[in-house]
Amino acid sequence: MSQWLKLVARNVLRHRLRTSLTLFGLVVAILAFGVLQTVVDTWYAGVNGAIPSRLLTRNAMSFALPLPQAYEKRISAVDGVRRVTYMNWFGGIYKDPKNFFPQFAIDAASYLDMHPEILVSDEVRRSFLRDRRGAIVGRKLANRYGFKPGNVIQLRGTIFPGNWEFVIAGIFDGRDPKTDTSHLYFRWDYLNEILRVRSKAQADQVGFFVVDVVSIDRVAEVSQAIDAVFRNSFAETLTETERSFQIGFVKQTEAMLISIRIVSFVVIFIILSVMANTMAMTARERLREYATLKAIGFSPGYVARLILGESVVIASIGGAIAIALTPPVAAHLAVLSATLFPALIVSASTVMLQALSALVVGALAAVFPMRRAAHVSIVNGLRAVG
Amino acid sequence: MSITGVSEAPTGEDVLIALRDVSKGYRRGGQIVPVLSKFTFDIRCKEFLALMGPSGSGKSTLLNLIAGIDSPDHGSIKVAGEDITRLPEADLADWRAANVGFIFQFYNLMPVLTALENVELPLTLTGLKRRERRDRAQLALSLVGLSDRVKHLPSELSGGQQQRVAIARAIVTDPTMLVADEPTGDLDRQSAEEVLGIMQRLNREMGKTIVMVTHDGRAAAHAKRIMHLEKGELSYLVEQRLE
Repeated sequence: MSQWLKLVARNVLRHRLRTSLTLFGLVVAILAFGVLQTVVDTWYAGVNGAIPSRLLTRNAMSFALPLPQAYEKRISAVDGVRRVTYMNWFGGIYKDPKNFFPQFAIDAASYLDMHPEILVSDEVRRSFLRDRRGAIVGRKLANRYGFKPGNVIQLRGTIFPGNWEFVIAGIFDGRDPKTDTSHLYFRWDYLNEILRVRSKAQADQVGFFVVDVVSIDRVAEVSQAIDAVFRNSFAETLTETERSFQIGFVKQTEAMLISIRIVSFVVIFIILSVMANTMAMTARERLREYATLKAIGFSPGYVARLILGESVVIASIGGAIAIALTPPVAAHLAVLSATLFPALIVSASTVMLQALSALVVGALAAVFPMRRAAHVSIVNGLRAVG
Repeated sequence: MSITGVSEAPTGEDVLIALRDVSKGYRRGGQIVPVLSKFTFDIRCKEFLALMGPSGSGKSTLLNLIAGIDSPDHGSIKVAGEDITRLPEADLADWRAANVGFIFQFYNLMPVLTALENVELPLTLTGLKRRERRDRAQLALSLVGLSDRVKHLPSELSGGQQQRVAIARAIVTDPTMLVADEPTGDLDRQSAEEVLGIMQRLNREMGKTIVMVTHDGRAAAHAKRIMHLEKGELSYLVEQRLE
């Protein structure tokens, strides 16, 4: 081990309590940074996971307003459309309003065909298609509420009045960890059948059409063509890519996301201040040692590298611990957040950002102590009281 | 020991350090306070010179200038014929590493390094291999009687032992001269005598030139010459014949 490395390593361990407290602060800050970045990334996961050849057609006025289900045939007839399915946001309450999870009424067969990211076994699919009251639930939702195939669950309608009973046909998984499995899907024809009795005005209507285009190259052309079909009708449509829709949805919460990002960087700035103070205190205490090193022939650069090395080593250890802790903490947070996030998966870019933050904090915290120790005259340094 | 009186000036051949018209002042409160003014003096090879005088007399400033850790405002300081006042900072650091061994009042050892590692420290600036550095450091420690303390940290050693480690560190590179600033100022009488005895042996047996600042007359009594400074000027010089 080189003399420099030996001095750096032993100086790191010199004031164990101080180093431990600094490390603790660093771990908390870099961990918080990583988790907050992961939360923001997850918010955008829907955008990134959107299939580029899928379009969403909704009411041009607002996605809260429905479209006639009869539009399906006319959309299917547009040149370039391969398949069409439709869905409704249900918005029911399971036992208590705090038990929120997304529920959609879907045209079961076509919806599952067009959404390969939803993995269901053939048996579950058959069961779902056989029973008009059938529903499938995602793995995360099933785990949270203990739903099992055959269970009957009741939802209290908010948009659609009355109590609604569903029979769990099975559980679906996601094709990848980013696929949200906190949803419940039930059959649109069941919803529509009941609405025809209970609330005729809401019957035969859907929230969205999902359109599968034959080629990604024709997405823009097809979306314009669909909207042209319904121009000047009583319910004009707005067709956009799934990705655009998700971006629009996420944009509604953009202020919050920006705030989270700012907070995550503020946390880093705070730990930078703490670390800089620690390093300044450390260097001030050792001014006489640095002066002695310079007196016996070591260069100011060597002394500066001692401080830089110590700071970067502490920051790197803190960063490494924080990076190692981020996935389990994020996973725990995802469990605590119930159905808010499909899964909090720490991305490689977040890990890189955490590592970079730790190194930058370590390097910047050492700048002023380095300058001082390198530039202080030997005579003044030797007079310093440690 | 007997005092022989005011010293004669050394002849040119045996001069190691030649100070010519050296002036140095410090800025205090916006004013320059002169410490040394046109100071001229020669220090011989293999000399053991004690610098004495009241606080503020300029003895530590003179020591710092001789050691190359401070620079004069005017004048020249030649060591073995080389004017160190003309050396750039990086070269001066190399010069100090090769020519000067430092002994400080408070030892100034690296607290995180063992006695052996502290002594080895200046050798890392040389091109020596690790094995050779270790051997030399061990030899230096044995010269100061600390062969059995090589793995001890400074905090595990007495003040006298720490100062002996500092002496070993000062001599390990075989420098031309040793500069000592109050080397016994923090030691009890017995430890001080041990340290001064070692310094005297280094001067007599190994021919090291030593310049030592001290307030202690008993410490100064170990030197061959004693220079008294008063307000930055040579007050008087005493040559001693040591038995």
